[in-house]
Amino acid sequence: MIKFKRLLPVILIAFYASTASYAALTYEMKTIGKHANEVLGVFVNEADTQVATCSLDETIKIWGIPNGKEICTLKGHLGQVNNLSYSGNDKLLASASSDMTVRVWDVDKCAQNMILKGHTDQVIGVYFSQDDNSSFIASTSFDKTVKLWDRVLGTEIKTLRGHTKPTNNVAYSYDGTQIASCSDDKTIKIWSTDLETKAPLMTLHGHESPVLTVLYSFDSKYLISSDQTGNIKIWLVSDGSLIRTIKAHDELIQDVSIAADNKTIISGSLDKKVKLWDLTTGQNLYSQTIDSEIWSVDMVSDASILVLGCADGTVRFLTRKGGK
Amino acid sequence: MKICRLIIFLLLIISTSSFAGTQLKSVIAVTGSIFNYVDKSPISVEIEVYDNVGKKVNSTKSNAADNGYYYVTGLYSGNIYTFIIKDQQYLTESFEVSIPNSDKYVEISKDFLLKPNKAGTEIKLNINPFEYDKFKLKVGAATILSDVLNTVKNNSNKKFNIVCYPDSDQDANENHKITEARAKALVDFFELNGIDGTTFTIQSNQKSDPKNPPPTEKRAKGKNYVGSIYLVVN
Repeated sequence: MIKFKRLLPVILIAFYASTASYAALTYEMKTIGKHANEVLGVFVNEADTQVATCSLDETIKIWGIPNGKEICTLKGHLGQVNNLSYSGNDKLLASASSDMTVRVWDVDKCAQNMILKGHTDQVIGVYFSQDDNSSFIASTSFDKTVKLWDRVLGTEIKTLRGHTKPTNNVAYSYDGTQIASCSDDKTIKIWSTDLETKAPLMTLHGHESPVLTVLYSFDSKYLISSDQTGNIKIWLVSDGSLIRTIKAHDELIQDVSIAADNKTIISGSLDKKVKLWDLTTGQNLYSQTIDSEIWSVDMVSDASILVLGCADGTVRFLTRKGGK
Repeated sequence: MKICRLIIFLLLIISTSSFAGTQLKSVIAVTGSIFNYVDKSPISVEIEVYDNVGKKVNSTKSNAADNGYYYVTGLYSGNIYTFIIKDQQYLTESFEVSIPNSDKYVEISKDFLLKPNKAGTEIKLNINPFEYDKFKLKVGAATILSDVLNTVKNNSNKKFNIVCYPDSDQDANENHKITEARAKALVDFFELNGIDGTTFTIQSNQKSDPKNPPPTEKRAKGKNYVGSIYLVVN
């Protein structure tokens, strides 16, 4: 008891410190527009000037940042559009659809540029290589494969096999050397982007339910993953070691994203909550409950605007009060 | 002697220039795997490759022991080839493969699925051509159904039963109506595309697919549910 009394001030200070930054962050929510059905993916471009959203309504919409004005609607897919990725130079957009195709869109023209066919089941994940030429696109599918496409040739150049159940999402490392894929088989596999190596470089075990998304930090040092039971895991890219598990949500987390500080991550869940986390400590920085399930999240580089793709079809901006 | 040398010199120039001509188009290889459409197991089958005038240009075999791997080379950039795959245990399939333009040797990747031809085989449509609770084919259904349309065209001696399951178990009468209307819409589609309607029988259902029932919990992306559709080999 004496010991506890002595420790009490320390505990109170620690508690205050842990909640101070949480309390400091406040965001104002605004619905900027709506799809005809659930919004499954959002992706903010490199310049923080646009966000693309994709939906169960089979369309993609591009919206301006920060005004939230709709720039255009891209039509062409014959099934729900599951995910999106801007190219590193922001000129192209790749989309993954349940119609088994990956499509490439010219952002300035708001027009379809290319259809990539080859997967034998729904395509769930897509990620552009972030090099200046936007040379490659990686995609994942319920056909259990990861495919690498040559964007210039318009053809698939490498099929990576190893997952034993449908693959859910894919990410390209920002240094261009690796691809990470995650699967219903509860693993994450790391693949080389060189054309000769087809076996996985590493398989990461640790999730106890289907892994729904993976994402590299911008400095390619960390890999972030989320799963069906609401956990986020942080992995060290260099050796694949698990450095942190965060019990983040009460329902599945379909999407996470990271800010340019390589530290702040955002998660959105079907538990209707959006949260910000400090990757280095696991501390919850911000939490907001909304009136819809959240499928997809992203944010501008400094986390001053958070973008939510919701099950009710709305696209919402959460803008930080007090600016930067 | 001088004339002989001149002739040899000319012949050398001609042969060199024609050789250079053949080099204008670079050689491309196509690799990938062939799997059983139903159970996704790798299979060993013969593959024949035809050019755009129907001339056989290559043949090879996939290897089930090596994850269904095959390798075809000697294809030229910018051309379109037809891969025809025939096997006693599978429905005959033809796949068009467009080779991209390239000025250097490239290996491209293509996987193929073959549907077993044994009576009773249930070929589930990977992409549903209907929207939830609808019985009219959705926009773009022709593209979605092009794979099974090709299969039916390539196997004109075979008959199929179209089996449709409902999206939920809420109303048995309504389920019967909607699944019958979906099956009829599919027969209409095949007839419009030149297939004799007698190729098909139809089966509606009042209850959802026992092998792929509607979800009872929240599902992740891409896992939303529309009642299954099968082409069953008769």
